[in-house]
Amino acid sequence: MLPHGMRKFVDTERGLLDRAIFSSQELYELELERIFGRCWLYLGHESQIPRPKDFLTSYMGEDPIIVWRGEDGTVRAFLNVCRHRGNLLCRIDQGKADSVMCTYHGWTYASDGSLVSVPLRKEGWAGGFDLADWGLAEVPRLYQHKGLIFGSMAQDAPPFLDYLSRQAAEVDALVDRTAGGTEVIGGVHKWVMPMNWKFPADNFGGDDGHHPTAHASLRKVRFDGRARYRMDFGPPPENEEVLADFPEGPIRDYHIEHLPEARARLGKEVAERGTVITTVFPNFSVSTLRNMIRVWHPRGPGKTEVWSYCVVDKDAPPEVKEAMRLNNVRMFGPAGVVEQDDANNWLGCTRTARGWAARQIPMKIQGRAEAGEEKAGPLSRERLRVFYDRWAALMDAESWAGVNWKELPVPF
Amino acid sequence: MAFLSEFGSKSALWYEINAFLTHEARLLDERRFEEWLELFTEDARYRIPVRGSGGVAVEAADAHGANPLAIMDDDKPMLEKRVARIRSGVAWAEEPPSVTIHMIANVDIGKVDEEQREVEVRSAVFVYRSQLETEREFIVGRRRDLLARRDQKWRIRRREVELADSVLEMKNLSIFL
Repeated sequence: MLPHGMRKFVDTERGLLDRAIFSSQELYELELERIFGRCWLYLGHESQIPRPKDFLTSYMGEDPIIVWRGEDGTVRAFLNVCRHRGNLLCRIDQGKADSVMCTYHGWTYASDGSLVSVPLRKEGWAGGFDLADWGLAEVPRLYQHKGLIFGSMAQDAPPFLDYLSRQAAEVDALVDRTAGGTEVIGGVHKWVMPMNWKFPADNFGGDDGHHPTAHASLRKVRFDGRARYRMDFGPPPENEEVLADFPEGPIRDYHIEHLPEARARLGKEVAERGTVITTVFPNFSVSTLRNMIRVWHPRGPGKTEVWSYCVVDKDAPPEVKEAMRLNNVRMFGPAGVVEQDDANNWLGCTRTARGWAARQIPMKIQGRAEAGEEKAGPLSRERLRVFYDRWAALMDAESWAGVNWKELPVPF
Repeated sequence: MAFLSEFGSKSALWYEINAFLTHEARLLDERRFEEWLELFTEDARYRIPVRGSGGVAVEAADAHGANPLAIMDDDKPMLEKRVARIRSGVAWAEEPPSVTIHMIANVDIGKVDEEQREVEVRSAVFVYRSQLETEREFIVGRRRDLLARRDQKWRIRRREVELADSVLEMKNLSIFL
């Protein structure tokens, strides 16, 4: 067993991380329990399942999940696991179904998760059994936030909005700019990268410092039509042209046109910041600049399955949606010219964390002491610290009761 | 028959197109990207849609009433920017460069448009990619090309690659298919 006290691995006072958190199988198993078995995780977007009986399949950590809209219109989420022998129940990513039958022995479940039929139940099972006892295992906590569906496996998790706290404003910067809400543009980018999930999650969460180096080609070739490139995604400098971070043309014009509405809904600071790139702990990231939602599904200490969505305002004109789709696809995703360059960095950091000698020396983020009295804000180094403060607090606790979530710094 | 007759027979056309696709594969493998770009018409479209696990997202997307998400969806200016990026010296995804071997097979000629002097061509594409010390990946798909005969040369006017995989086992796609 691991010694208690995750502060041994994560020293946010001095800004030092032990590389074991990126390579240890034992710590990874504990992450599945204490991070992914406990936190609010993103499952999908309501626009993917608009009609009764529509479903999508997703993951919470390594657990397969089916999100199903019942005949009554209610969205529920279940382990996508047959209660009989544990076979993976639904094998496709999205669709509409009255019921789903397990292909092993034919146990069949309805859209509300109830077990509706079992072949040979009377003949094959001595005395039979009650179907009502064997419905799908339901994700105990579900919250729909402005079209986004989140779930938690922990009955005692804090209410979703308390969990998000002030960071809700950053999520809303993507999904609540206009009254009409948002929709996902068909399909999801999915690909597997040999990296620890925390590298991309902390990167989106606040590693603005990598831009000038990792994405140097963006500044050199200027392939995304932006007028201005900044070092960080905090509030724009005074006297700057409004929303200068967005690509020139339909996207920026659209955002400028809707800025009064966005200001009213989000507040001046977030609306005018334009580019909001953030991670909701642990593995849900957004980028307003690329109309993007991102989930980092863990697949072992050295492997991550990346899911990336394009999310646009439902009421935006078709040409604006198309410009947003192309901006998302061409810049991010497996072939995105910005994101391509992240891969070898995240892979490299993961790979060297396996070395014994490297694990004897810590890696560096900015510590609280170095940062002086500054409060957690949008600047990268503080936000990295906040990310790992949360990681340590959750990993140290036996349950949510042991996590003083409200006292932890908020990454915004 | 004016167009086909230039080639004498459909088998001669098939041979020509095989030679063209092999030449294209060689340009990519030898990283002669500027010459590769010249193979595309100015109005070319290059697309790799995402594939869902229940089928190709192109079909599923009809229900959404929108264009599907794609892994690549480029016009020629975007393809040119990709090449300029690779040549920038700071495109870290290709430093050091990927070694690729493009294998093209199952070449099948579909509709021949005599008036537009265009041919629909289907083929299978298998790309082996090696980078760094031990990173070995491959990606497989079906190409649907629209090849146009312009000024006695073949040009690619449309390419759509239907991938076999719904979840790519690739760190990134910094190469062309």
